[in-house]
Amino acid sequence: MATRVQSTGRERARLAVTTPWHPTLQRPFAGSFVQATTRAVRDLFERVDLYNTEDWTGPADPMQARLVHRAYAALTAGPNPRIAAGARRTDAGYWVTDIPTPVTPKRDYATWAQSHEFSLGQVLPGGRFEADVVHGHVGIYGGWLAHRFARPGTRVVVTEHASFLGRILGQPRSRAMYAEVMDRADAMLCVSETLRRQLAEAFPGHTGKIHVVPNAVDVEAIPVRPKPVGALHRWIYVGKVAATKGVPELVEAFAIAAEDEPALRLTILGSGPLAEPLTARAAELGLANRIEFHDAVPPHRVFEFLHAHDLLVHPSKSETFGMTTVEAVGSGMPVLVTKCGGPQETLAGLDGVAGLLIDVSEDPEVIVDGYRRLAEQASGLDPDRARAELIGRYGARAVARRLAEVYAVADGGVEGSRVADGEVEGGGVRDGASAREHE
Amino acid sequence: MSVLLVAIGTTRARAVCGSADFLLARGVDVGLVTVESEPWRREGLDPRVTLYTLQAGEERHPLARTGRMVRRVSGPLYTKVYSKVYRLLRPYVMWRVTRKQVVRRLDLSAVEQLVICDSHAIPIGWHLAKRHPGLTVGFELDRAPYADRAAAPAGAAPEVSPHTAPSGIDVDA
Repeated sequence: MATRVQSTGRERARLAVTTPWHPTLQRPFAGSFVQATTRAVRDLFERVDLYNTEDWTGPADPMQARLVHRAYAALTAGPNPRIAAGARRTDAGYWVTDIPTPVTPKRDYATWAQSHEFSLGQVLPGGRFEADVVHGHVGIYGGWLAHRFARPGTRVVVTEHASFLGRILGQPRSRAMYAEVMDRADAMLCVSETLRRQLAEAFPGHTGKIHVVPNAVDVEAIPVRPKPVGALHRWIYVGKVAATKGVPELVEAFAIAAEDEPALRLTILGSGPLAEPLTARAAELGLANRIEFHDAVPPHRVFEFLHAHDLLVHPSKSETFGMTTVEAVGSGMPVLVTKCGGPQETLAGLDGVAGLLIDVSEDPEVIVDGYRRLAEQASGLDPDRARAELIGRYGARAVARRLAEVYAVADGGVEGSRVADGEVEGGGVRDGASAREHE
Repeated sequence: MSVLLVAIGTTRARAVCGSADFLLARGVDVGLVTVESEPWRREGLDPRVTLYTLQAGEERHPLARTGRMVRRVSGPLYTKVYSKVYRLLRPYVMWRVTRKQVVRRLDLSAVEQLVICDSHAIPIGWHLAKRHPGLTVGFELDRAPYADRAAAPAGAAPEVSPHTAPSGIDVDA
């Protein structure tokens, strides 16, 4: 039987969010989409508490790791723990508890999830989430914690964002844990159709509860470029400088295009393992003065760079969502982006309006050809329409409306709630009854 | 008044440097217990932070000396046996060195907060917390006590010579 959030007319519902990704002092750019999504639903609840279990990579040696865990437990356990986790109120109005989580460097997702469970268990008052709805981000980690710490009858919603989902499902122990999460979750949300298909194939018995609900992106807050784009001369790439992002192909493609067009420039904004080799390659191609490599900048500064360029080229091999593309289109900038998963969905119906979608390829000529076609039809692009479409899809209000359905709470503020077994109130999702248009 | 940070490695350097900058800008003395100083210079840690390095003290510890002797006698014995055993004992050795080089040199009653900044530092933090029940301990800096203090404008901070606590001085001796 599905869970419903029942109005009492007196008390309003509480939401607990559990995530391994949220901005911290150490990782100020981590989980900005979790932040935006949580901010978007803040007003649906009386109180929203976010528990951020942050990886603290520790010793690889099992004995040393055990010692770290024992010391951690001694510091955080008991009625009067030496280190008590405190919640801080964010500017967005929800509460955050940052929970350091000692983990070993070995890529073992089940063990990592259990480490997160251990750390959260140390600090969670009463050992349970005192909330009517629990939303876990990332199936293994947040989803696992939601499953382990939600009270029976609490509505559990899980969002899967992980680009490494295949690796999680490839490890028998973490796959078994994922199956438990799937059993427990009332709704399983994927930020893209690609992820939804991947989960549906892995857990065919649960397809009814798997839906596509994107992350919120505060498109309304993205500053629009002061002057519209003219010629597409100044290219920019924003992101990790890695092979999986297609940056080597971009450099080669730029070299081909730049041969005929002396006005072309390329900025690569970000850091990563290929930054140095590609800097050397640019020099080798005689393009050191036309390809600029710039270290990553804080998110709010990215728009300065976007506004100073004419075309975002995003040649990634795979993206679950593709936040950079959405931000570029939101800022009024044309994009040349590969059909690498997320972008086909984020730009659905906007091919030729926001920019151009091209095939994923190892061949740099594909990028060159895409650029030339886009340059020919640049005057036909409609950046205002593209931005408006994205606000309708990913803006805070749009996503909040969708999540209100999934949470089974009223949109525009919760009259009151208590979780009880039964059916979902009007508009709510019951085992995937609604939101099916996304399947 | 001062704040003591403990970070064995630089995996969380951004947080450590950020906390140090925040405190120094408000006139609070900052100390950092770590293994070696050079990686922190590379990470851009403010030179006004007093470093208490453990590397030389660790090298002087009898167990480490034994290791060097074993290596001279037999490379395979060192790799296959000694290094595996030492890996297990290292946290204990690090605590012993901390106790000798930091605890006995510092007036911990004047330390307002002890901040455990990385995973490897948790055992040392726990030992320090156990020995000093009145010490405020956390995994992150509680900024609230300093929030009302005006931050010194960038560049206006007094120039202080970098001071690295002399490593390897056995104050027990």
